[in-house]
Amino acid sequence: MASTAGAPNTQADIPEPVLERAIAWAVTLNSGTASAADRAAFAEWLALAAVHRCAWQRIQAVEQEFAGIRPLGESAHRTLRGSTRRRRRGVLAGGLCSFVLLFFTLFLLPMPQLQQEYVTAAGERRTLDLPGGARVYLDGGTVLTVELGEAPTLRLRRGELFVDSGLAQAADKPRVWTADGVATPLGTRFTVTKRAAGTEIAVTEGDVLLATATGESLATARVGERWRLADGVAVAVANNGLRPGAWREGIIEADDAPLGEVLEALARHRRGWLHYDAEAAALRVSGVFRLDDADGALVVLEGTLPVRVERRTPWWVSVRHK
Amino acid sequence: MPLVEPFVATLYRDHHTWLHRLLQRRLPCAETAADLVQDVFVRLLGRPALPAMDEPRAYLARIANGLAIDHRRRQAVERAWLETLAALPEAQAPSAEDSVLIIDALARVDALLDGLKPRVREVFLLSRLEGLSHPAIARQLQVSLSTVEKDMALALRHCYRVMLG
Repeated sequence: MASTAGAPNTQADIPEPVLERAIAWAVTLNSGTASAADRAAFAEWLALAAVHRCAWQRIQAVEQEFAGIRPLGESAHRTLRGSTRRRRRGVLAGGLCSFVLLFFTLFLLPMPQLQQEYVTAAGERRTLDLPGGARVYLDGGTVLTVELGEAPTLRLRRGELFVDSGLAQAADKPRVWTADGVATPLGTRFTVTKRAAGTEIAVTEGDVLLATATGESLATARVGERWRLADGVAVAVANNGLRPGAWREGIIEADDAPLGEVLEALARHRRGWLHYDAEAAALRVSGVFRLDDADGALVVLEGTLPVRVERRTPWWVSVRHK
Repeated sequence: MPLVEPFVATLYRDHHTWLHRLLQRRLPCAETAADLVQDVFVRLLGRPALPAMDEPRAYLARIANGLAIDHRRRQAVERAWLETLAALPEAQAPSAEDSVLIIDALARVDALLDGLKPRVREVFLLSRLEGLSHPAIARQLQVSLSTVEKDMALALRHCYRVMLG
């Protein structure tokens, strides 16, 4: 097989240690915690040899398969969970595992709890009245599990909630959990937003206690403040320029907000994937946008900001800086 | 090495009825079995060359088996996708064209991940599809950070071998 040392073109040409290193880089760079030093070291490694670049391209070809369905996010993940379950079910039914299955059903499955999952689609909003008087509003594109135990527990997987715990007694105030930590209200109105890079809490009334997922107390968020919970720490962050919970009234109210924030909010109100580049995200926007016409809002933004909106399919829209 | 087209014609004449019966036993739907028989021969025609065959039926059965597995996988993915869509209001449903592309892409990924332990698969999908950071995945699945990192490398290596190995 013909190949030169500088340009390997078959699997056999990439030495195993180089491949392992490329995989290790892919793991580090996608960890969500890679440092500037990591990135610099990676660039150095990549520049060092053609075989490094070739190995990296191969790994990127694998990543590309997943990037293709990334816009579907949770829906893709659910589907892939569902398809495995189906096949596993098929295997169990056909095999001699019914005894094992029975054992699992009787002894190992968790007892059913008083819990209910709520899913809102893009553009759909929903209000839940919890026993005890607290009220929870779900923004579009939100996945929430409600467990009714001694105190209501809300588990936010995705999207945004507005919690109005004002009328509830202390014991009935709902705690909001995400993978990043837990927010406990003290007579309060606040929003919780679950993002890929963490959870944001914005308080419009009262105080909210913030803690890690293991219960370690971190900070108290006060009225008017916005905090981010991620990787076991809570940081106060700048106000994002959007009035928290304005979507309950069917609008986005932006006051010198980064376009990225406005687009994130809009994305919860239209189907499909709304992508934007970092340059566009940094542009500043003021104005009121109607959520029942998210595509109209994009047209308005395109007319007033130096951005181009590329509509590849209704499911795939990109906003780019001109 | 036999010429492709006349050789495939001979294979078809001698074995397609047998192959159809074989697939009918493996698949619930007669129409699908007939389609897959066609697919097996179309696939052979697309090859630049075919090996000399001592046991052509074993060779055909191996290809048919692969196609039947792909078919069942695609069906499982399609049903799971429809279930996922059913949770969304009708207005949110993608068009039929988009759905076909989406199901194809999902089935490809499903095949790539085949054979991975459920936890490794979940770790990888939480990262690549939901964009969670490693610490967030570790907390959500209640495993250590080093487990997440090991699983991630394991998943990438596995997908690499399936795709390019």
